[in-house]
Amino acid sequence: MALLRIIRRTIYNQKFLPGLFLVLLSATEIGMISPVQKESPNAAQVKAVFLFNFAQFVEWPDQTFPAAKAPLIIGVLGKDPFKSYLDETILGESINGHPLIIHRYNKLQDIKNCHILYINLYQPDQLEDVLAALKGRRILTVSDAPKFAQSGGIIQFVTVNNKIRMRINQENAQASELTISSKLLRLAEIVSSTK
Amino acid sequence: MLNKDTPIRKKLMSAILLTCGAVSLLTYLAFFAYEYFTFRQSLVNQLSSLAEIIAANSTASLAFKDQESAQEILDALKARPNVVAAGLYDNDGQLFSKYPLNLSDNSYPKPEKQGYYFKEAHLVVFQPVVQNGKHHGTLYLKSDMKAMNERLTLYGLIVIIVISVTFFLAYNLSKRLQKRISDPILALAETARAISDRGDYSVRAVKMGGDEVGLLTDAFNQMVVQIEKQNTDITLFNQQLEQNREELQNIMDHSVDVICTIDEVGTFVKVSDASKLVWGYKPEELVGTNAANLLYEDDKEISIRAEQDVKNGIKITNFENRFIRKDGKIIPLTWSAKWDKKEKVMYCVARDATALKEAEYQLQKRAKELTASNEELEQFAYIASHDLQEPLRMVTSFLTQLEKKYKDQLDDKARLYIHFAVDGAIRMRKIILDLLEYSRVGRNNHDIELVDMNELVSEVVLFSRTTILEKEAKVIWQNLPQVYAARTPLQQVLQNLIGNSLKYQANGVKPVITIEGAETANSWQFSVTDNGIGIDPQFFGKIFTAFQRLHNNNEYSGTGIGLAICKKIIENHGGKIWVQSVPGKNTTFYFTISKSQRSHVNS
Repeated sequence: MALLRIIRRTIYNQKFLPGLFLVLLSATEIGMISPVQKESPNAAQVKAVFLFNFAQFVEWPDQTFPAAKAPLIIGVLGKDPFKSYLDETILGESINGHPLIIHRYNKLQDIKNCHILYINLYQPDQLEDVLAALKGRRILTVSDAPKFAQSGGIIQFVTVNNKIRMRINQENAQASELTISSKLLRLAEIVSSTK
Repeated sequence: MLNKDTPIRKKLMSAILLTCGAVSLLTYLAFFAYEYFTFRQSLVNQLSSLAEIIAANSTASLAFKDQESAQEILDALKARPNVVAAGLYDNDGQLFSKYPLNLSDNSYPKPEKQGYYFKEAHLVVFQPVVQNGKHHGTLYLKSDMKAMNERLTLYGLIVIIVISVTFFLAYNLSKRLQKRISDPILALAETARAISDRGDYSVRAVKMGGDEVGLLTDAFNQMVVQIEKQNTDITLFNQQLEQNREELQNIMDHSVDVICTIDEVGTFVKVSDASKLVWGYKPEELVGTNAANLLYEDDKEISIRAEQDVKNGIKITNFENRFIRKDGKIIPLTWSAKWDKKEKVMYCVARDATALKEAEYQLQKRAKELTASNEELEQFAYIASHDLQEPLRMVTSFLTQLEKKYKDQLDDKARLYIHFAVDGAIRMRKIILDLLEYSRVGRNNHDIELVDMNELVSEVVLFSRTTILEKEAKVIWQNLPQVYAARTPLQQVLQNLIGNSLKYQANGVKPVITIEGAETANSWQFSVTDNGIGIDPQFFGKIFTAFQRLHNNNEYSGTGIGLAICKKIIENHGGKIWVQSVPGKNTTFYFTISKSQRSHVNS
C-alpha cells in the first residue's frame, strides 16, 4: 500500500519514473520484496517521528541556538507530506531545553534559522540548486529524494523490506558542522557524495 | 546427652567440642550469609550495569524501529551464559525484540519501571531505554543464579571439610587437654572414695598442681587431717566418757546412800545398789514402780509438797520423811533432790537417817537430863544456903550470948576465940547470902525492857555516893545507848563493876572511872575503865569463877562471887564479859548485850 502511495506520490512529483525505478531497483537488489508490498499504514507518521528522533541523535554547534532556550526548528521545504503528524509528534517536546517548533517554507529564501530541514520540493529538479545553496549552512537536511545523500544531502529515507531506513552522508554532515551519534550511524547506510 | 551423672571427662570434652562446633558453625553461617547477600548484590549490580549498557546501545534501534540492530545487540548476550532471557519493549509496551529468538512471547512479563527482583531462582532487571531524555522503551533482562549457587555449593563443601577437620582436631586436642583438668579431679575423687570406703583417714590425696584443683586437694587433705584429729578426739572423749560413767557407776554402786532418778510422775528411773541396803529392795525391783509406794502414810502430804518444790526449781537438802522397808520396818530418810528441767527427772540422794535420828534422840535425852540435874543442883544450893542460914544464925546468936553473959569468966584468949568464931560466922553468912544470890540469878525471869544506860549508871552512882565522896572518886559517862535488857540484873552488873573499881585502889589514889558504850551490828558493847591496881593477865580467866579471890580479906574484903554473878547475868543476856588490864595502871571490863534480847520483849 505504502509502495503504491509512494509510486503515486512520485508520479505526482512529475519525476515519478526515476523514483519508481529506484524504489523497484532497491527492492529487487535486496531481493526480498514480497509480491504484495505491505508498507506501514502510515509512513508519514513514522518519518515524522524519525525527524523528531534525529534531534536526539544529532548535535548542532552552539551558535545555531541564539539563546539557551532558543527553539530547535524543524523546517519543511516544499510540499508537507506529514499532514498533522509532525505537529502531533513534537507537541510539547523539547530537546536539551530547546523547544521544538515547525517552520514550513515555500522557497529557499524563506529559510533563515533552521536545524532540521525536510526537503520535498515542488520541482524536484531544483534539488541540486537547493542543496548547493544550503551547503555550509548548519542544517540537517533530510529527504526522500533519490540520491539525496549522494548528492549533497545528509540523510535520505529509504524504504527497505517495508521498513524505513536511512542513508547518511557523513561528509556532508561534517561539512555542516553537525555531529551524528554513532548509534544512529550504526543503523544507517553510510554513503559518500558521488562526483 | 549430658546429665548430672555424666563423668567429668565426657562433660569437659562435650563442653569443648560443643563450644568449638557452635563457634565454627556460627562463623560459617555468618560467612555464608555475608557471601550470599554480597553475591546477590554483586549479581544485581552486574546485571544492572549490563542492562544500562544494552539500554544505551539500543536507543537508536528503538527510536528508529530497527529490529535487526536491536536483535544484534541482544544477541551479544550469548557471551553471558547466565542471562537466560532478554527483551526490548517499545513505548507502547509491545515486545520489540527478544533474546533468545526461540523464546515464546508468552514467557515475557509486562514491562515495568526501572528496578530488579528475584523470582524463582532468577534475577530480573528492567531498564528504561532513554536517549537525550526521551523514553523509547524498556529493556528486560533475566539472569539465572547458577553461578551463585555453584559458588555457594563450593563454599558449603569447603565449610564441611573445614568443620570436619576442626572437629577432628578439637576432638583429639580436647581428649588430651581435658586430662589435665579431669585427672587431678578423678584422682581426688578416687582418694575420697578410698577414704570413705575403708574409713582410713591416714590416706592423703596427691597434689598435681597449684591450680584450683591443687587448692582443693590441699583443702581436702587439711579436712582429712582435721577429721582424723577429730576422730581421735572423739575416741578419746568417748573413752573419757566411759571412764566417767564407770566412775559414776562405781560411786552409785558403792554409795551407802540411795542415789536415784525419779521421773515427773514419781516413777523410779534408775536406782543405785544401796536401795538393797537401805530399803531392802533390789534396784531392778524398784525401777518402773512409783516411789510413793514406799512412802510412810503419814509423810505423804509433806513429801508431795516437797516434790512440788523441787519441780518448781527449789533445790532441797535434808528433807526428811519415812519409807517402809521391804521387811516392814519404818526407816527415816534424809533427802537431797534437784530437778532437771531438760530431762524432766529428779536426781535424788536418800540417806538412811536411822543412826542420826538415834543420836539426836540420845542428845536430846542427855540435854534433858542435864537440865534436870542443873535445876536440882540450883535447887539444892538454894535450899542448902537457905537452910544453912538458920543454924548459922543460931551459932552467931549463941556465941554473942556467950560473950555477953560470960564475959567476966572468960579470959582474953577465950574472948579472942569467940571473936574469931563470930567473925567466921558473919563471913559464912555473907558467903551463904552471896551463894543464894548467885543461885537466884537466872532463876527469876526478869522482863526485858528498854533500858536507858545513862539513867542506870546515875542510879548506881547515887547508890554508891558515900564511898565516892569518901574516896573523892570521879565517875564519867555520857551518851550511853539505850538497850533491851532486864533492868535489875543489868544494874547489878554495873553495881559490881563500879564497886570493884572503887574498891581495888591503891592508897591515896583518887579513883577515876569511865563508862563508855557503843552499838555494833549484833550487840551493844560497854566498858568500865578505872585507874586501879590492875589484874595480872594470868588471872583474867580465874576472876569470873565463883569464890575465887586474888587478895586476902585483910587487903580487900569480899566473897569473890561478884564477877561470877556478872558473868552469869551477861551470859543470860546472850552477851560476853571479859577484861583487859595493865597491872598497877588500869583495868577495863567489857561486856556485850545481844540485840536479840529485843525479841524477848513482852508485848
